[in-house]
Amino acid sequence: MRNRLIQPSNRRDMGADRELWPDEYTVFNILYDKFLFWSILVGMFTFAWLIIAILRYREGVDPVADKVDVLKVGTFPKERHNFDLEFAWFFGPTILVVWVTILAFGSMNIVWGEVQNLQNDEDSFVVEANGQQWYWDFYYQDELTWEDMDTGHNVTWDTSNGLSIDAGPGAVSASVTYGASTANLVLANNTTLDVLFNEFIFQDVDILDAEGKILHRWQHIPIEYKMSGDLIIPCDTNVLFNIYSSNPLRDSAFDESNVYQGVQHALWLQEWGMKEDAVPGLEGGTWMYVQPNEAGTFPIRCAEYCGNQHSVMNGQVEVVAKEGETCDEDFGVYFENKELRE
Amino acid sequence: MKGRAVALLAILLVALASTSSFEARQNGIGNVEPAGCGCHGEMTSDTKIIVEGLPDVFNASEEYLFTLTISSDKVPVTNPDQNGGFRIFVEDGVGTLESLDVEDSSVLEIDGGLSHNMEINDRRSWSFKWTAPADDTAIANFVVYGNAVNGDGAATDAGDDWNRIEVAAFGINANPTAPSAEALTILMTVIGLALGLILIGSMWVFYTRNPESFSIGNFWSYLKPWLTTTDHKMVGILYFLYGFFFFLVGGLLALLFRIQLALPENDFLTYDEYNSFFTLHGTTMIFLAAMPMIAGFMNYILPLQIGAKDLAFPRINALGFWIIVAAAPLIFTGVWSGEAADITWVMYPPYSSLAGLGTEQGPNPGTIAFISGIALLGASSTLSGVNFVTTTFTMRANGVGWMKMPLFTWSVLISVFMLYVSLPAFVIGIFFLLFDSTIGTTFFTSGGDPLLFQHLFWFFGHPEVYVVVVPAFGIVSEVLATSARRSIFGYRSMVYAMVGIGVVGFIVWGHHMLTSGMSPAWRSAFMITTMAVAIPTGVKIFNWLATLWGGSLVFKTHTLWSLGFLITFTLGGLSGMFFPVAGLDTQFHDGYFVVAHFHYVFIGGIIFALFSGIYYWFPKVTGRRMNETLGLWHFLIAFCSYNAAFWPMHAVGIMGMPRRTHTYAADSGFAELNMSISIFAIIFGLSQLILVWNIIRSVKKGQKVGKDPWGGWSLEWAVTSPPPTPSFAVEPTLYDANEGVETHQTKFESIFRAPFRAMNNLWNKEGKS
Repeated sequence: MRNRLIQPSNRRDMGADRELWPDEYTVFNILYDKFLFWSILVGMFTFAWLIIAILRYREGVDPVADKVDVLKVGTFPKERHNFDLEFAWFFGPTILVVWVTILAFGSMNIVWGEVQNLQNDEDSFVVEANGQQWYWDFYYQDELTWEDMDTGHNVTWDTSNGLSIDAGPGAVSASVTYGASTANLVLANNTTLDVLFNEFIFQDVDILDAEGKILHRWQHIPIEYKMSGDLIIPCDTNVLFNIYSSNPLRDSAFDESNVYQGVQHALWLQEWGMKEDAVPGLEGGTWMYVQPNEAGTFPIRCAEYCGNQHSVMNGQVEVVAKEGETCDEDFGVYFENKELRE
Repeated sequence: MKGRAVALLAILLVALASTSSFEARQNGIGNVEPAGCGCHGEMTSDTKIIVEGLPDVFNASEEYLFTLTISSDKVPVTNPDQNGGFRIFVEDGVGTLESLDVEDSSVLEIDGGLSHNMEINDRRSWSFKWTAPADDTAIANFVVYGNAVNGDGAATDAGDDWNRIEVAAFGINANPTAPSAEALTILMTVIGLALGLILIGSMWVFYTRNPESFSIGNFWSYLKPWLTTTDHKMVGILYFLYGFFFFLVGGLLALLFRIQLALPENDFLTYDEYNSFFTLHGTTMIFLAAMPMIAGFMNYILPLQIGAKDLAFPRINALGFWIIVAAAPLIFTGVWSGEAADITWVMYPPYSSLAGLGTEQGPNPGTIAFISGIALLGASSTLSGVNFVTTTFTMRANGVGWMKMPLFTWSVLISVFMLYVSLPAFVIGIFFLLFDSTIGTTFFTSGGDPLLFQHLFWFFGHPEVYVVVVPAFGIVSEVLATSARRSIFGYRSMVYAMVGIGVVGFIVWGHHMLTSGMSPAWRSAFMITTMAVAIPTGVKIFNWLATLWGGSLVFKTHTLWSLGFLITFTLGGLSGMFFPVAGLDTQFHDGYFVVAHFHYVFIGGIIFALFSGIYYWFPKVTGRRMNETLGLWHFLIAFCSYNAAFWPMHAVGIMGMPRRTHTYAADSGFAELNMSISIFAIIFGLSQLILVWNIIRSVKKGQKVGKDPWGGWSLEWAVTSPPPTPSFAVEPTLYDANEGVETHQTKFESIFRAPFRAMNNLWNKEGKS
């Protein structure tokens, strides 16, 4: 089923009004700033030395001839060396390297080590990504019920009373999807529907205005629900991705004797500076996780060259608040790890 | 001798001709029996296949119903269960084919087509629906197999009879194209034309030199030495010209795809063209441009610097060159039809090993030839490696001790040693990839391990980066010391630093695969080793700066390029520190930040140093100086436009532009920066024409120079310019200005060396007693 949620009319313009740089509160941004600082420091030191040397010791400026060695063809010149200085050349970079390695180690566990613990964490939201030529399939391993925030409308759908819509001003009708069937409710007469909530079925309510523009969205995504290309994930939760390439378990026509069993891809969620390869034939797939902190729509890209139309293997990920929650909480490594930040 | 050569050639030709028949893959696609479950009996024209209802000309997306009927007078309809079978498919999967028979679900879908199964083989007529593709310029070629079966059981084929027909339907806007020539034919024609042009061109040059005495015989006696030479100087020039030619070719490819990337959603190049162009750009620049150019310098300069008459194995040296001459056309196969290899220069399987599939999922047809060409490069590099290591070990002249060799010689020794040690992994990987693509092995495809190739490749690939960059260090060391009119500062620490880079370079390869699901422990290990590379590199940069300090720097063009190298290589090295870090690599990996980084290292490091080397040793090779004014303009334009082109790539990468993308969306926000990158890249590309013009002009009109125009000390400046053949009539001797000079130790040094001194004393004592 086509995902109706991210429609062109509803899509936030990705180029114009959002920062292209990755999220401010990510490991990437913490470390990038630190590394940039040390790089600039080293660069300034080196280039200052270079420029002074060029200007001060160029030919004609300092005509002291005895400072210059006599180079004679066929004679290995007098060696110029100073053990103390050379040791400093060695020692300085070593200190710096040790220091930036310590800096980097702070992120090693958070970015790559932590994911194994999070797999056993009940609170993690798990999505299985399956790279195909040339699109992504996402299979939900956790259910997600979410609703737009602060629109003045409210949708409740539960197991005892069914669906009830508390529509605010401007709302004219509602498009209600229950599994494969869709119905239109005219909100003037009808704000309830006598269908009970079922957690194993995809359910979706869009409140529309007179022109058919979506004012408010409510959605329930069941476990094992499949989305192609675009994706919806909750904020303020560790979202884990289990990444496969042409996962044989997901392909009903899978043929073991076939030479073609998918190619390499890499799932890149640039907003959180994360990516991981999809390796064909790797049992259990690869894992990565992101920590969405704020709502928004961000690009999904394939980073590993995967053939002819690699460049159009793009999608979008929309970060939403779970039903009854907001994205106001400060969430992520940035807020938890004071020592990384400083 | 000639007989053997002819026989060998014949065997090779036969082998080449029979390569295409190795199509069998282990139960792979392509191996599905043409008739689905296999046609019974013989193929004869007795079985008539009639297809009714298919249009001659189709409209876009329209549905057509048609029937397939087989009839045979020889094979009677006898059995109510078994009478006939079929297999039908459309070449290249044009449109959609469906069966309309009642037992629809029982129709087999095989390899993009349909076939019967046991349920519907009780008849000899079937109906289908074909939905035409949306593209009405397509041509649908239906291939139909019909099998008349006499129903005496599947055990025997006797009495059964089958046939095959093809039916074509043209899209209403399709222009049936003229039959295209085989890729091999096109390739051979192009090579022939190119060789012919080169021959006529050189003939014309020869003619204009002396129109009166021109004859083919004279011309041949002029040409023959170049084709048959084993002299290290001539082979060196050939290597350099070859590399420089492909430097321009690779640059041209880059400009073409920079034009494509200048605008968002551009369609200047097709997917296939773009993908093969960046593949060829990478491979050309590294294997066909940088390495041969460096090999040119090695060949020419190294024997002169150590006072050797020639290399240890001159014939192997010439063989190495002519092998890469053969490799280039293989690598470029298919480029004229836009179907050259599109597997990137890293050639990751399983994509690259799917070349035999011939489908959209697999790579372009040129891939197998491309991989073969790369294998040839491996052979050539191995030969050179052996040769240079042996030469340096055995043929040094009097007085050229290990610690008396010029730094360029040291850098070459370390570089070829690394090449020689890392190549086996690469060659094994390449040959396994070739077997996967041709004879159906599964080293890296399903059932094999795609990551294994990445390990093999990067075990070679990362040292390879140092293989090309270490000689660049050597060139810069020579140029800066000579230009500052003094000896290099810290000669020994320079050598140790290069050796250090050579050793550490072998244990860092995993940082190219940090996002491939490696265990965190290994990722940490590779992070530490990668960071450690910065230490010897830092030592080198500070030594260069200390060499300049207190000298008397002469600003010649080669000096400028070496100073430019110092700036850009430092920048490239600093951005390299960002990669092994967990939180940064996950964003940078396979993005434009990587592209920016390695262009800073490759162009800013290697190519700038090579330019420096060109201006520096040009007088030695030709006896004439290059034009300094043109050189200054070349430096100014190229250095500025280079930085303006590649610096913004860092930003584009952080914004999230993946590398190897054919195009990007208009709302992605990459457009402005990409436009400016393209403009400056084109300026950078065009500025190289100044160098070309400078070289051509200076060969004829440059100011004549003596033995030692720049005031260098090493032995290559002791011979005339250009050097005679053999280079040294008498084995030269390198004198040592340090002899008899008291070595002064600082206090810290003597403390630092105390334990070593103690060990040394102990060792000596035990040796004596």
